[in-house]
Formats: sequence, C-alpha cells, structure tokens
Amino acid sequence: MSQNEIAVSIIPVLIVLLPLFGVAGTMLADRYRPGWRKITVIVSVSLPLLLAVIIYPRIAAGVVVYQMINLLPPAGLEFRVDILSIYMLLLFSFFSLIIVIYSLGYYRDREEGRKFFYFLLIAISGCLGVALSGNMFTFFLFFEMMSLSFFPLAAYKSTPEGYSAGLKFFFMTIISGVALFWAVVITNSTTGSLAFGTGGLVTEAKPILLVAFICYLIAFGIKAAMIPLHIWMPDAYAAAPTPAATLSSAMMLKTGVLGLIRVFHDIFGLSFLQETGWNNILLVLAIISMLYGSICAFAQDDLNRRLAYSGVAQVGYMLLGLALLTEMALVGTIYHIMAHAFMKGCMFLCAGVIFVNTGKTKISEMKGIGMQMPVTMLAFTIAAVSAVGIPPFNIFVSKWHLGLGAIQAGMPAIIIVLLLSSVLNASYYFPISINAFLGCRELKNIERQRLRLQPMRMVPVIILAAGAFIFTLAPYNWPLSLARAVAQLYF
Amino acid sequence: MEYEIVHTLLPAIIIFVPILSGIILFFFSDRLYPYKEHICIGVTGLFFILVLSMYPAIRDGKILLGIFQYFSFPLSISFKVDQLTFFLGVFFSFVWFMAACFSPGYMAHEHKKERYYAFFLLAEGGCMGTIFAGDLLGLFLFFEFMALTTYVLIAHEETPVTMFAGAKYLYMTVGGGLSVFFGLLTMYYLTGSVTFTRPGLITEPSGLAMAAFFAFMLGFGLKAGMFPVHVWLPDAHPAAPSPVSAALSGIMLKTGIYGMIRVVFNVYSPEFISSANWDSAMLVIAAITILLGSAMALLQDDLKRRLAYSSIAQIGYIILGVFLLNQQGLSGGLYHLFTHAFMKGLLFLCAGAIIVQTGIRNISQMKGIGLKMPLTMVFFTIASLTMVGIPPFNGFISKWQLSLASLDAGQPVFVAILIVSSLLNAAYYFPIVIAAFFPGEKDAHQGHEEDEEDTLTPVHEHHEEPDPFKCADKSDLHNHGHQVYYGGRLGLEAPWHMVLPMGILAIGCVAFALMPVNWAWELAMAAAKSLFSM
Repeated sequence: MSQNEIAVSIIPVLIVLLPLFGVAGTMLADRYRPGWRKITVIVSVSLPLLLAVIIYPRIAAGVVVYQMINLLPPAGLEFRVDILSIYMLLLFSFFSLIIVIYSLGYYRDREEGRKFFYFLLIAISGCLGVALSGNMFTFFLFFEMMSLSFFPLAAYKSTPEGYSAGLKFFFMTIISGVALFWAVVITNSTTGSLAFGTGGLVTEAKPILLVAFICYLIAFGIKAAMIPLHIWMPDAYAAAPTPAATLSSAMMLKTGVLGLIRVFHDIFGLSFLQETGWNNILLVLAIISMLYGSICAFAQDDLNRRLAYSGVAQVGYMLLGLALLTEMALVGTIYHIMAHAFMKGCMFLCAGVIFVNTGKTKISEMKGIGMQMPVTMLAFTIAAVSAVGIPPFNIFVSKWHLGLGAIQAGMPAIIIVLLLSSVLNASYYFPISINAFLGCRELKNIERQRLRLQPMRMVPVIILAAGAFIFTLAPYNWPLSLARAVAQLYF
Repeated sequence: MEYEIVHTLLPAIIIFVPILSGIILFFFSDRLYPYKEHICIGVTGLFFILVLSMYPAIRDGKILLGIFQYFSFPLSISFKVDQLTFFLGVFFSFVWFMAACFSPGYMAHEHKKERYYAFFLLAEGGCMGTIFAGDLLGLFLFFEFMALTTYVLIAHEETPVTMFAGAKYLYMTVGGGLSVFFGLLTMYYLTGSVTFTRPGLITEPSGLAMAAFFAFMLGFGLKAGMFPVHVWLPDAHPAAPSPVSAALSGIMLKTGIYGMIRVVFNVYSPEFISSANWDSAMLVIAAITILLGSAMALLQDDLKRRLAYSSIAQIGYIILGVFLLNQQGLSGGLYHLFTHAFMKGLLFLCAGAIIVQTGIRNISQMKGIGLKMPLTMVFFTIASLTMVGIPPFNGFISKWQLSLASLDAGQPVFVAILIVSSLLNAAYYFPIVIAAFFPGEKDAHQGHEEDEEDTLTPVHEHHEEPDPFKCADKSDLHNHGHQVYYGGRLGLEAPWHMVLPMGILAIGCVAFALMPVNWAWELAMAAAKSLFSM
C-alpha cells in the first residue's frame, strides 16, 4: 500500500459538526423565526458538500487529510480522508442535500415535520462521520449515532406499524452495536491498533479473530440488510416516511457496506483473507441475498416493501464484489454503491411523490398512475430500466465489473446468478412502469388528469433519474475513475 | 482483397437522426401532434436516403468507420459501415420507410398516435444502430434499446391479450439481452477488447469460449425467433399493429441473425467454429426451426399468427445459410434475409390492410376477399409465390443458393429439408390465395349484398367483442362497410396511401430478379465476400 503525503486539516471535523450545528440552528429557527428553517437546514447540509468539493482536489492528488482529536482514549477520535472516504463523503453529502430538499417538500406543514429534521440532521452527521472516520473506534461511534437517530425517523408516522417497525429496528441496532463492540474490543486487544490505512492489521489467524470477523459481519450485515439479518428493513421502509426510507436506502445501507470494506481491507487485510478464506462466508451470504431478495420482492404488493426487498438483492451485489477479493469486483462494488444510491433513491422518492399526491402505496392500485404524474413515472421507469443493467445506465457498469471480477476469481458461474437476479429485477420493476402507462383504457377521465406537483418534490426526483445515466454518458466517467483508484490502492 | 478504412462520423450521425426525432416527438407531442405522421415518414425517408448516400464509398470497397468518443465506459463506441452493414442497412431502412408510409392508414382509428410514431422512430434508431455498431458493446447497447422501445409498440393496443403478448416478449428479450451480456463479458475477459475484427479475437478453444458462444446464440437466437426460444414470437406478431408486425418480422428478427453473423465471423472465426464442431449443433437447430415453423404455420387460423410461424421457418433458412460456413451459403442466407424482409413485410402489410378494411383476422373468414380487395390480394399472392420460391421471384434465388451451398458442404439432407419446407409453404399460403379469389359456392353470387352483409356482420361481432377499444370504432367501421357495398365491388380496397407501400414492396419482390444486374445479389455477394476475406 502506497504511503501518501499526509496533511493535517480541520475540515473533516467541520464537515461532521456542521449538520449538528444545523440541528441547533433549526431548533432556534423553529423557536423564533419559523420561516428560516428552510435556510438553516439547507445551509447545514450544503456546506459539508461544499467543503468536500474543496478538499477533493487534494485527495485526488494523493494527499490524505488527517485530524486526530485526543478525546475518548485509547483509540481517540481520528479523522482520515482517503479516496474511498472522499468518494463516500461526496455521495453522502450530495444525497443528504437531495433528501433534505425533498423532505422540505414532503413536510409542507411546519409543525408536522419539525422534529423530523432534527433527527434527520443528526443521522446525516453520523453518516458523514462514518465516511470520514480514521479508525474503527471512530467508525463505531458515528455508526451508532446514525443508527440510533434513525429510530425516531422510522417511527415518525406514529402509527402502530411504525412503532413496531421502529422497535424491531431498534433491537436489531442494539444487537449490531453489541456485536461491533465485541469485534472492536477483540481487534484492539489482538492487534493493539484500530487505525485504517495500513492495509491490514491482522497478521496471524487465531480462532478469536474469527469471532471478531463474524461479529463484524453481524454488525454491518444488519445495517446493510444482508440475509438473514434483513428482517428489520421491509417493515421499517413500509412504515417510515419516504425521506427516512430514502436516507436509509441511499446512505445507511452504504455505511454497512463501507464498514465491511474497511474490515476486509483495512482491519484484516487482503492477504490474510486470501489465506484463510473467510471471505467465502460473505460470498455465500451475498449470493443468497441476491436471489432471496429478488424472489421476495415479487411477492410484495406494497411498493416500499418491494423496493426494500430489492435493496436486499442489490446489497447482495455489493457484498459479492467485496467477497470475491479481486480488483475488478471491488471496483464493481464501489461503483454499485453509487449506482444503487441513485437508482433506489429515485425510486423511493417517486414512491413518496405517489403517496403524497394520491395516497396510494399498493402497486395494484397504481394502474394508470402514469397518466396523472407522467414525469414521476418516467423517472421511475428510467430507474427501473437502469436496475436491469442495460447500457448506458450506471448499473451496467457495476455489473460489468462484478462479472469480470467473478471470472478473475475463477467463478464464472456467479455471473449466471448475477444475470438471473437481473432478470428477476426486470420482472418485478417493469410491471409497475407498464401498469402505470399502459393497459389503462378503462380508466375514467378524472383519473387521467395530470396532477400539479410540488417543484420541491420533483426536482430531486429528476436529478436522481438523470444521475442514472449522466456519468456513463459523460466523456469521463468520474465515479468510475475514483472507484478504480480505490481498488488500486487496496490491491 | 484489402478494404480501405475511411474515418468519418457520418454513420454515427445518421443513427441519431431517428433517435433524436423520436425523443423530440415524444416530449413535444402536444405541439407536434398535427405533424406526427409527416415527421415519422419524413425521418424514415431521410434516413433511407442517408444510408443510400454511402453507396459510392461502399462500392469502391471502402469501410466507413466512426469512433464515437462519447461513451466513457468501458471503451468508446464505434460505428462502422462495411459491405454487410450497408447491404442490410439500405434494405432495412427501406422497409422501415414503407412501414412508416403504411402506418397512417392503419393507425387512423387507434389511440395515442403520438406515442406510436415516437417509438416507431426510436425503434428504427435502435434497430439501425444495432447494424451500424462497430463493436459488440455498441451492438448490445442498441440491441437492448431496440428491444425495450419495441415493447411499447407491441403493446400499443393495450388490450389484455396484447399486454400479455408484450410481457412475454419483454421478459424473454431481457433474458436474451443478459445472455448476450454474458458473452460480451466473457469476450472482454478473454481478449481485452470488444471490437469486431477479421478474423475474430477468440482463437483459443476453452470452456469459457464455448459458454460465451452458446450464450450469444441463445441471446441473438431469441431475438431472431430460433427454436427453442421462439415462443414469444407467435404471440407478439399478431398482437402488434400491422406496420409494427411488418417491421418486427421483416427487420427486427434479422438483427438477431446479424448478431449471429458478427459473432461467427468477427468474434470467433468460421474455421474455429467448424473445428470446434459447434456449427453442427446450430445446423440441427436450424433444421428443427425450419420444419417446426412450417408445420406449426399450417395449423394456424389467425392470418398474422400463420405469418409469424412462417417467419420462424424462414429464419431457420437464414441460420442454415450462415452455419453452412461457406461463402455460397452465406450469400444465400444474406439474400434470403433481404428477400424475407420484403416479402414478410409485404404479407404483414396486406394482413393489416385486411384487418383495417374488414376487421377479419381469421383465414377461414377470408373467402372471396380477393374480389373485394383485389390489389391487396394480388400483392399477397406475389409475396406467397416469392415465399414458396418459384422463379422469377427473389425467394427462388436464395433457395437455389442455399441448396447449392448445402450440396457443397456435403450435406444434401438440407436440400430435402428446404424442399419439404417449400412444399409446406405452398400448402399454407396457396389455400389463402385460392380461397380469396375463388370463394366457391356460398359467396359466388356477388350481386346479393344483403347476403354478404349477413356473413360479414357476425364477423365483426365475433372478432371485436373482447376488445373494448375497437368497440367504439365498430359502428364507424360498420358504416364504412355499408357504404362500400353499395358503392361497388372494389370499394373495400384500401386507400392509395396504404396500397402504394404494399405495391412498392411487391415490385421489390420481383424486380431485382428480373433486372439484368441483380443489384441486391451483387451487394449480398460483396457482403459475403468481405466476411470471408481475411
């Protein structure tokens, strides 16, 4: 692993703190100047994005931005921005801006959405912290902060389903936290360090390390909704308000995957895993996730639930790429993190627009909805087509790399699983789009009129739909080059 | 023979003419609604002229190559026009043009015309892009684009039956596309490139190469309607509006064949395939496809369904020609590709004219229709004769070539299959023609309009009952029918703008064979030669 130049900077700390200041600012605004909430919320998430863009050129040039705050010994709060961090940081801060704008449109009523924004900003701060953390301890801290603040978001609708889904999530989070705690303790005691960026701390295989490895898998697997730890997700997504579900799908799932990437390549190290073959545990789970998630998605009539199960399958792709331990597959994983965020984020936002404007959540009720909201359903269709992995959409690129990685690892049969899952993707997404636009001749005229939609809700949807192909059509595929740089660093 | 490569962006630009106009028509359909037919016909015509304008260069043995540095992943997409591409491009764009000309008449009573015309243009762009692509990635991209846009055309009528047929098509085609994706991936892994070269890049036999080959065959064969993945085809063709059926059967099936040809000649090489003995598997499949398609066509009563099965059989001929792996077979196959595009396009347009004018879809009800729609049925007869392969029609030349090539390859059994299939062709086309012109006892007394009306009315009832939209139009159609009967014998004939495209295609079925220099044949020979020269 190449040693990079290290620059000490306060910017990572600022990025994490800004949304927290935003919470305070929003509280003050709600108390004294209710009209200013929009401004404080948007500023507190757009500044991190701005800062991320500012430090991006330095990171891209190979500098690692670093900041150590000597709190909470023994490990200490450590921020470290390498290429993987900046990739995730840009993704997270971009999506937090999108989600915040959408939430402002979603909760038009000032009082209704008041507390939502506090927890949303805390969760965003946690996500950004996870992306920037420089050791496992810091990662743990922000991971828990993010997870716990999602509980009120998931249960925000105050329905019985919301509470039970929230509780389910809460207990799973506790299990995840305990497992992660165990894993961190074991890692620290056997290796004496928790820092990232060394290319592997573990040197010799001990049984206790396998325990740690499995604990890591459980902790991050719960967050990433890996089979069989996904059970919180469909309920939570069906019950949660759309922005919360989008936050979880586009950002929180990814923190689980990011955690596993860190565990694989920074804690255990590539050569160690190749020797012991522990990655095969994840490989099997990933393949089961891909197929099981897709098959379950068929059976769902609730749109959010279908999207949730599809998320299980998509996370399976990411974990597959990680578990294959080849460079191409890791590129696929990292690219798929971005591709999935755009695709699934767009779908969730569309589901939210449909719910807010028509009150429909069941797919069977959505016949002919494309007549009422053509732009929304067109965006949904673009996302659905991109999910199948057809050029020129993003997911084609990630599937391409995953497939190449599978052949490199000597397992071309995995491609067949990948393609089978793609066919399943098509067969549960396409009917939604088809029913929305076609086969609706018997509809009454009143059901065909175009609805007037809020621009605050529609702009994020359109941006995310454009994101499904904008990078691949551009002359220079910027996320792909970042993903390649990350994979090069690790291999 | 050496081919000179000319770098020009012309092929890349002309592909985006129909695609961009389709997108514009789709998004500005409110404003462009009155001009939608004009745009569609104009753009398809313009496209044909643009393709034709490349003829001088192609004739001089040049290859037009345009590398399109816009797609960043994983390699740039290139567009290449060589002899094969030009041969297919010029005839296919012509059939698209004819289908577009036919559309306004057929679609007069349909709904959502703006969507139909927009997707018609998009599908044309996808189809032509598939042929013009200079590498496998571009081919795959446009192949999928075509597949998805065609779905909207197939499901256009939005009745439950159409929706089912469309869904069957959509999921099978997605599966086929992913199968091609597997091949593409494997090719990239094995060779590090996806461009078409001569000879192909894959030269080492391996398990992966074999898996990739059959994945390609499965994916492209599915689109072409090859046995055993043809099952979407007999449903999709009758469900689609007739001009779309004509384009689907006449052209889009051929993109599958085109993919196969590229795989055989530019990804692998014919020598490699024959040494690996994969061609014999494909020949067996081709023989089954021919016989199964012809036999199933005999059993159908729905005219368009019969035509669809007949297409499967004809596709079998072309696959046979390709996998005989000699130049004669390939040129025969290519010529048949062109022949079939014209004659099957014509047959579907005739079927469409019959449906629009009388509402009849079933062959058993078509007794005497030739007396009411003489021009349509004359064209139908010409196409049937071509199909059976009687000289001087085009079909004769291709069958002749295919038979010669089979004998050359030392496999006379295929000649027998060709003859059996021709007989079957005759058996399922001629009864339609005969019944149309010589209706026999019941319909012999033409003077009794009352009688005619009685026989026609239940036909409407029967046919249109399950179709809620058609019901709205029924009275309209009906009135039309009355008027016609009192007007005269030829009154049911389609209007001139529908007859004209059919007539031109019918001339195309005969004219090339009667000319002193068979231009199409020359082009097919040149294409085959360019593929074999390496």
